[in-house]
Amino acid sequence: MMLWPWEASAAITPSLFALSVGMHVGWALVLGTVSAWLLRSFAIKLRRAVAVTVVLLCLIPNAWSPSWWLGLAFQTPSLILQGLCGLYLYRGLYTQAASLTALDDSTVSQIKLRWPLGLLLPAIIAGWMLALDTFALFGISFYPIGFTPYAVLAALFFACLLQLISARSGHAASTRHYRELAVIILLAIVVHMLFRLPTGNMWDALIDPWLWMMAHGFAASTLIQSLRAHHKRSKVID
Amino acid sequence: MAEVRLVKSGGGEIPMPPDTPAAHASSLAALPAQHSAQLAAAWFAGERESAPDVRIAFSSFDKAQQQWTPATFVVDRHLLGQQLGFGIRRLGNPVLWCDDNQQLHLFVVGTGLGGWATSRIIHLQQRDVRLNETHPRFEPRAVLPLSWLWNISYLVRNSPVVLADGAVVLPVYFELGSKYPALVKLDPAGGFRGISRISRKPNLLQPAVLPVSERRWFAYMRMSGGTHKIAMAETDDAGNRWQDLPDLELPNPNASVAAVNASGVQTLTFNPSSAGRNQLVTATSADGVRWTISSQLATGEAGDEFSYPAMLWHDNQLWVSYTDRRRHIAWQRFTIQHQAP
Repeated sequence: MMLWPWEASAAITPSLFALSVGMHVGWALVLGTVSAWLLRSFAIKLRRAVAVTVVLLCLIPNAWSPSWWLGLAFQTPSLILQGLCGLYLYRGLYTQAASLTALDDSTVSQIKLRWPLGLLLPAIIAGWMLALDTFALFGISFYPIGFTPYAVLAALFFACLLQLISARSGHAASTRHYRELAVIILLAIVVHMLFRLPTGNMWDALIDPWLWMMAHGFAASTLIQSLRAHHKRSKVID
Repeated sequence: MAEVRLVKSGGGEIPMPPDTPAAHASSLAALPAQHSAQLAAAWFAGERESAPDVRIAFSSFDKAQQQWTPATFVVDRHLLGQQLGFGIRRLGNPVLWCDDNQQLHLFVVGTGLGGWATSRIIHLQQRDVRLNETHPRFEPRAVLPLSWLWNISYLVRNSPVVLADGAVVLPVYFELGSKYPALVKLDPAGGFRGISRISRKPNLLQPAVLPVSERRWFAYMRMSGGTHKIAMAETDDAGNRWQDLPDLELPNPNASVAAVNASGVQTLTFNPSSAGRNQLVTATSADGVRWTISSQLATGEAGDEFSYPAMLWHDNQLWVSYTDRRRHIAWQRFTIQHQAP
């Protein structure tokens, strides 16, 4: 069989069972996180109860489930987004810090996902490349590369790079973020290799349009905070 | 070179499922030699295009009776949604293919949250393959992963081409804003392997692939704007790289075309007018570039529609099916005669 340049050497789509389970678990994690985030100023018991209810609702395998409708519109969230949501749920609902009834600023900052620009920029650039590629605006096509082992190697390389940066970074919060994302990427690679989730394409496992849009929001927020801090420092010096 | 004549040897309407007023976008597939039916047809049918009750209808052409079996619905969006685990808003174009293991595959357009621009291609395959099955049951196998943007806006229309090694290339197209044609590669069992774009020109859709040799193929494409012609591209390395060719001289009213290689005679069915779809013809060619109209399949009044042809070369006969005024699917069968000039 003559292979195209970016053709997989074997069939690569997930089984129907894996696709369905992956989609329901994915949206359960994402909507559970959204509900926990919306109720972040309420008592932990309420946050937990609502989040668990939302997660269970999402796992129902029929049209009563929000996953049914979100899958209709958006298919399955990326494994990275699922990993980040899982992390947020764990931190926000099950750690000692989250158990405090009222969240003070320091607790909120502990469970907030405030990512450094060094992590957000690659996500934003990759998303733009894939989005423009969808409309065939480049001479070559990037999306099909995600079906090949080269994409898995690229993801592995990126995870290792993050580990390396986290080991050398002197800033504690950044170190934690780099390390966490590296672990999430490694887990995403393992899940993708085992079950071909979410679609059989590695790029879909790493980033989806929602995560890409969120990265823009986080980046804007980080930039504004940096500018404010810079402005404050300038005033103090004056 | 000998002149080619298409001699009609049969034709009529494929029966519709009961109480179904509208039909569109048929697809044909050859059935195995030992099957009691010669070929199968699938199309979408319901109250109208994009109606909530649209389902995929199926019929097969019985060899002994020399007629089509009563049509049955084989895909329903509600059941399909249950099997997939997520909703399907509407069903659209189906494409049939029978693999070497005599298993039928069906590629169906299913829309997401919106119109056709939010479509995805769902791959179904036949359950419990039994010889002489006239009412096959299909179950979903995969949602073809074709775009990063929530996997939306890819549709299927024309028949796949089976390669010498049993692999299959399925013509597909993207139609959100910019329209472009592409090919999906499947292994001999139907497993998804990859996707490759056909043309760099904008506003081309519904590619029909015509292999003239193992590595050299042409693609003919509907043009959604511009010159009201049929666009053309070629590859010399089995779909790896494509080059756009000048548009064909044939007029076309932004309508689907079908092409098939009938043992060395290239055949193309299309609407030969830039104004409407009220005529449908089949043309023949020796080189795939210069075409001669060989048969007038249908002619109607202004506003009538004969469209969305499907073609199949099977058992030395050329089969053509098409939408007849959106009310049913018509079919015609030809033999090819070569006459000395």
